[in-house]
Amino acid sequence: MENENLNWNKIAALLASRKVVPSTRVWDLIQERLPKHVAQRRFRIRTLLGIAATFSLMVSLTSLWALQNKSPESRFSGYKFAVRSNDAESAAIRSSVAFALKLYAADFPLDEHPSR
Amino acid sequence: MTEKALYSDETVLIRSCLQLDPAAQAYLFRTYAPRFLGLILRYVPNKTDAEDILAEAFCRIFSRLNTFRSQGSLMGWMRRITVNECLLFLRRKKIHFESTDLLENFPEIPSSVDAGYLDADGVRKAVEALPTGYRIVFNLYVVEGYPHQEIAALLGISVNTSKSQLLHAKRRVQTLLGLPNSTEKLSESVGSKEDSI
Repeated sequence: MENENLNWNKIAALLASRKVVPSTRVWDLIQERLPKHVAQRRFRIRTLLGIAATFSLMVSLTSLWALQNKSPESRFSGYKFAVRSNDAESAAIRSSVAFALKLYAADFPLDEHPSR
Repeated sequence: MTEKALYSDETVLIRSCLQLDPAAQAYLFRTYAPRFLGLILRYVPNKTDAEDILAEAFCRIFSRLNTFRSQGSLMGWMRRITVNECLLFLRRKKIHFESTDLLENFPEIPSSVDAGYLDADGVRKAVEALPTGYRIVFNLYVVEGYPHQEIAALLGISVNTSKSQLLHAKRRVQTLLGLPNSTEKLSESVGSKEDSI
């Protein structure tokens, strides 16, 4: 009986020794479903914030440029006009610049700023 | 320090995986996935289905790693999860096991298989050729070492059904491998009531 078991054990060992390398699809499937590592999550949030801040700043600068080119008088004092005027248009620009700066500040807090 | 040296200590590997370290998770997958895919293919021969089961099993392993107690081996724990995933998949396919009461007083399964000259490929093909029910019970009993009581509980069948499935599976494997079959006479007595899946 012991010998018989040994033989089936040999068959079992042959079967158990089989290794098949899975395709890369399997690891991709697993990664999609795994909770993300903290660093990966932070990186993703920062990327989104960075894109939003850049977009916001571009809109502000474009508005400023448009404002400067509105009338010949304001062409050389456009920046002053945009910053100091109480005009509704310049107020909107100021708030959008402030918003962009806020986004950058959130993206790169002072203690973690990439320049440091 | 290389990745292999870093994670050769199982405790470090588990702790890193629990901290959702992507490198540790990838290392665990790379190390064990080929073995487990081989295991799954013994139950589910279709490779696409087997890979889906493997992905499901690893997701479960990573999400339940905090419940692993270091009393047993990590390999054994993961293997059990993988086998359970296979059975879950097969249960969804609604495999029907016919009960065979005639086998109630069957003697212990005799076998005179001489496995000395067998190659792994031949054995694998013989097992793959088995009907699903035979194959599942054969794998659970002969390869994984589960007792009949546990197999019966896992598959929702009677212990006798499990025993008869194993008997027929062994006989079929011996035939397929062209080995002398000492169970033929016994099987003839229940030939008309063969329980197939």
